[in-house]
Amino acid sequence: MAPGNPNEPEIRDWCVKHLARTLDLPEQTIDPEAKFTRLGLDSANSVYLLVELEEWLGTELQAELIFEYPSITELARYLAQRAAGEHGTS
Amino acid sequence: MRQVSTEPAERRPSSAPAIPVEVTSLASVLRNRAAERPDDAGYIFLPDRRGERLQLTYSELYTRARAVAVRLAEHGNRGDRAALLFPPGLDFVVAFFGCLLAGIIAVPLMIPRRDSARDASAALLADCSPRFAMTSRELVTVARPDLAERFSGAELEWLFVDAATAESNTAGIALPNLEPADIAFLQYTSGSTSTPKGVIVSHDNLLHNLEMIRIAFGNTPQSTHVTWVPHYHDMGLILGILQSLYVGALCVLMAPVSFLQRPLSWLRAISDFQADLAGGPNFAYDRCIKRHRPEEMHGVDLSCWKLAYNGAEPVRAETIERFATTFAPYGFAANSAHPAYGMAEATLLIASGKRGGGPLIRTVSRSALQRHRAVPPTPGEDAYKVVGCGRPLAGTCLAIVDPDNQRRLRAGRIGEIWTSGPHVARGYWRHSGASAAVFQAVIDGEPEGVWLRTGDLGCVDENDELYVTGRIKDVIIVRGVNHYPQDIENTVQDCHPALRRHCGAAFGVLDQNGEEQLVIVQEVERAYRHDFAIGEVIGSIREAVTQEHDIAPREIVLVRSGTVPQTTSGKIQRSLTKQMFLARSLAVLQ
Repeated sequence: MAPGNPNEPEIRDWCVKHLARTLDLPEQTIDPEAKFTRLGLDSANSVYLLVELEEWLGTELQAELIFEYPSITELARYLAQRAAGEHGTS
Repeated sequence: MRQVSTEPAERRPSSAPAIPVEVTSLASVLRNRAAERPDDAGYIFLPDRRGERLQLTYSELYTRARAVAVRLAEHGNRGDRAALLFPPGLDFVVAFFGCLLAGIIAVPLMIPRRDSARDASAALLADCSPRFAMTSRELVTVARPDLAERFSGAELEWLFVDAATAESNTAGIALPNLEPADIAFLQYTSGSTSTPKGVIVSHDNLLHNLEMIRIAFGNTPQSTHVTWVPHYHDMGLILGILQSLYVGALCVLMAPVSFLQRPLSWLRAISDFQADLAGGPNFAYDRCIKRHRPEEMHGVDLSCWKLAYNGAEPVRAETIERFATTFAPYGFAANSAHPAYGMAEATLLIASGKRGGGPLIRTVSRSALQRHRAVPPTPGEDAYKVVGCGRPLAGTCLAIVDPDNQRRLRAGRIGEIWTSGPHVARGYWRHSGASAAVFQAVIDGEPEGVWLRTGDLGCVDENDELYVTGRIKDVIIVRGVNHYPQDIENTVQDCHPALRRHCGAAFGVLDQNGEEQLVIVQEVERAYRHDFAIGEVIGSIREAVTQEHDIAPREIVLVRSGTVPQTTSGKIQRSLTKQMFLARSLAVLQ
């Protein structure tokens, strides 16, 4: 699990590293603003991303999040806000 | 070839398995189950984290399916098609049996991705022109309201099948008597947007293959099965849903996404239900190994799991070995691993090992394999492990044939795998040309028999064990799903005007883990060569292919105009393009 409560940039960086590994691409080619589909994230790999995120953040995530927040930046922003809300620190 | 382990050399009886005469279709099997064991659970659906567990007894299933059948018979005619569009769950099972009882041809469909612009469903609907679309109210009104819009052009009559839909008492209403030759369902092997082909499976095919599976797997009413494989996939439907009813065993269903998210929950369900039977494509076992967390395995006992089938994509020795090692501490026995081979054109199963026989793994020379020879590796050479997929099923024949001259090859030689027997389906729906070429092949010098050409390459050893070593058909298999290169190439060429029509190739390449990856090679028009952003276009291609086909290209290579090899008649030479890609001899645009 992640130490403490990761903020938006930390979640973003984590996603970039994870996707670079999954998609076998250099980290600098993973554009956090790009849509997940533009990075080549199919539905199975989307599920895998969320599962790894769940484990790291220690929270449950629904598979639909990838469609609602279709880029690393959007997903990281949502997850950071949600975590802050849950911990009453927003 | 070096034999690592041996099996008894006795051969299976070659006579066709006997199906009881009173069983003319799976509909009659359901009727019998409902009469003999009305209160036994036939199906259980395990929800995702929060939902409630659902169950269907044989009597409930029969009553609901019968009511659906009466509605179908009122509004349609025998032989009409019904597209089945369901989320994972029990309503699909009711709808499918409703079709069987009514003599309506079921067409199970995958639910298209919500962000795809043009999915395969439209082409499938045009191909089989269904009268009905059967679905659950919740799916089309709440979860996916876009579906009605997507299918609005097809003039479908929508029929809701769910527990909430009240069914009237239909006990007295007569339903048609089915003949063994009647068509039970159409199996589209995957979404193919250019030329979808639906395999015509008759009741006769279905019963024969179910009986062959029962014999090969040694299934009994105690063979509780836990499956997450999608119901629109031939493995999920026939091996999961239908084989269970056929042998009278409980079938526990999980949603595919539940498995992808938490593969260990599948193993826990196997333990909870003391399941005897469970399996999936090779990647499912890899996924379990990858997600193995000892702290999540408390109390899981896999000693009940006697048959762990592995099929629908190449079976990898490394996966079999690692899975056995990883899960041995939880009681998983190495000899439960059960590689099998089949395809929708043969209803489902073509070859299978014996229950408890364990996998047969042989080591061959990798370089010789690429030249279609199965020989032992020489010292210092790259050794490659091939996994036996068992022997031909009872009542079927299998031949290895030279695909170029249709001559039968002897044991140990690699050629195309051909099969014949009552499991071979009747052909493709309304594609007589393609059907004749695939389903009615003749071996040179043996005019008396017709065979199904599988398009896969392999060899058999002296004990009739089948090894699948490659394929000659143009299909890319990722996570057990078939993808057709023509479809992907069309999507690519629609991305940008600079991408030359009919001048690209999509093919599969094995990565360092032995997993198949999609590679796209595409020509660029000369006029655009100096005037376009390569990175931008590659991004568009990756996005379109991921969205439309739900498969991510591992590499996209843009090449000079006129450099993707074609035959003299203008057909793309995909395997030659693949060789050039691997040899790095393509004229790549930088």
